[in-house]
Amino acid sequence: MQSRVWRFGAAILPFLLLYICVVLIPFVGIIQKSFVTSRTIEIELFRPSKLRSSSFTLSNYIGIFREKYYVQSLINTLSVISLSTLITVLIGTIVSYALVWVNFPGKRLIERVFSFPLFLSAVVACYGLFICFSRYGLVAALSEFLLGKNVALTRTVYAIVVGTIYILMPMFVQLVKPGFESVDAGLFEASFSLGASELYTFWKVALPIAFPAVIAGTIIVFTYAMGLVVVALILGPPSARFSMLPVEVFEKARGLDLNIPLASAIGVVLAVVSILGQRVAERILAKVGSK
Amino acid sequence: MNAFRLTLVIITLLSAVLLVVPLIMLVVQSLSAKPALWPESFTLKWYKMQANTIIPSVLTSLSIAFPATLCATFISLPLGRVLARHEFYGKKSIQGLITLPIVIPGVTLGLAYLQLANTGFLREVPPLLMIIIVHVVLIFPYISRAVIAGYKALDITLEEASATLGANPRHTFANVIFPLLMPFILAGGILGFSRSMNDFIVTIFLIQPNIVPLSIQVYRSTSYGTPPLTSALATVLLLFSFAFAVVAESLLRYTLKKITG
Repeated sequence: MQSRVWRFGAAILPFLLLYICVVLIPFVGIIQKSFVTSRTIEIELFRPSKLRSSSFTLSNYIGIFREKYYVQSLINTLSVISLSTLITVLIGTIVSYALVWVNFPGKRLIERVFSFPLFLSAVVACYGLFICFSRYGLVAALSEFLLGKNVALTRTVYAIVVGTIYILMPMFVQLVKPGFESVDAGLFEASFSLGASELYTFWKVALPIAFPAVIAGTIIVFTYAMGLVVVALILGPPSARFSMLPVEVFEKARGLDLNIPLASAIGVVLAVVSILGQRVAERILAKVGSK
Repeated sequence: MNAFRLTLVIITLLSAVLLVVPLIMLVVQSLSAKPALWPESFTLKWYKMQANTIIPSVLTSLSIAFPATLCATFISLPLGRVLARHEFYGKKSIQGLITLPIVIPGVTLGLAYLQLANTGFLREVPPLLMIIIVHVVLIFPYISRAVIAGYKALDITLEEASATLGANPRHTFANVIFPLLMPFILAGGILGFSRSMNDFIVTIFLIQPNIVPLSIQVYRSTSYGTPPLTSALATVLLLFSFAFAVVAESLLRYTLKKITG
């Protein structure tokens, strides 16, 4: 018995050590940082003298929800990702259904197109979009042909929305496909033999069964989008003109306008939203699984 | 095919095209002599011009991704076995803990590591080593998930048979378990490796002037304002992604063939 406990411990210990040192301590470190105002870049957890001398304050958090600039930033972030998520969910649900239940030529290739972005760098994807949106890009050429005027979308809010959808879409499809796969083929036959159309069957039979997966997928992509920096950095306007919260973390931690406690507070808010979203999504999926 | 199905297929095909077109335009742009929708002449000059940035940054990326993947695999193996085979107190918490590095937004993690790297004796740690350790954590969820799936798919009776025939645990692991786990380890390893190479937002908080991985080099070059040049760098990273996807796909097919006979 004793040797079994020992073996158990030996199996888990390296993992625990790694995660305590490289996940938990740094994370607790920035939580602590978000409650002080001293602008040093170091973790103060293990320095009792420094901990005692710094006073606890909520001003960093209050700033996010009070100062006009950050409130605007919060509103910008929420509107961009809500719109992106909405479009992703509407199109992504249809695509997921089609990839599972409709047969069409070239389907295997299309499936690969949606699974490939798992290996794709977001920087590369965003730069590809940047090329398409630029003055001499595809979108400009198309708009000149159709509308007679050259529309360059780079450095606009629209470009951020499209870029976010580009990143979210494959993720959402991979999350929702299992939901549609869990629909029993017999249900389709039953529905069709009773004279229902496929649209009706999709709406009344398949979608309700896949619905928990759709909701879970929506929550996951929404919270993921909240932390996306790359898209706004490459495709968006400069943050002085259109600021978003995750980009603020990046700039307050690296730029000239250094403010580590404020960056930490925003970072902690983003992380808490993500962790809660993930847990809720897992609950929803687990409930379906146990039925 | 009825109207409903036709609409679905058209929407699906259109979305797929929209996913692919930017990547194609990127490659085309990298081969173009000057910025244009479609180049008048194709050239490799941007690649040649950037060779002295491309090669070191690819080497940096690889020298981060290789050790990080190996290390994460090594830690995953015993953990995966315990999680796949045993029920114990705290298992749920461990499973929740494993996914944290994907759940916490990259920018928050990056900021946390910036502070970690500036704390006490950790300032003396070589930056490359620091980045490698951080990457072990970043890719750990992907690799451990594959290893756990591998152990679950493995038939436990094989292990027992090997033990009753007198093989010691080490021998059983080396000759029975490890070969069967191999496809899963490779699949997780490839995904982890590619995640390490593609990471941008966490790594950018930790880079030093002489240590710039390819994904960050791509972003940096956007400030030069020469699209074909950035496209050339991005295409190199895209080729890596493509290679990983192809290998992962053939691995999956090989495993399926083995399982179904």
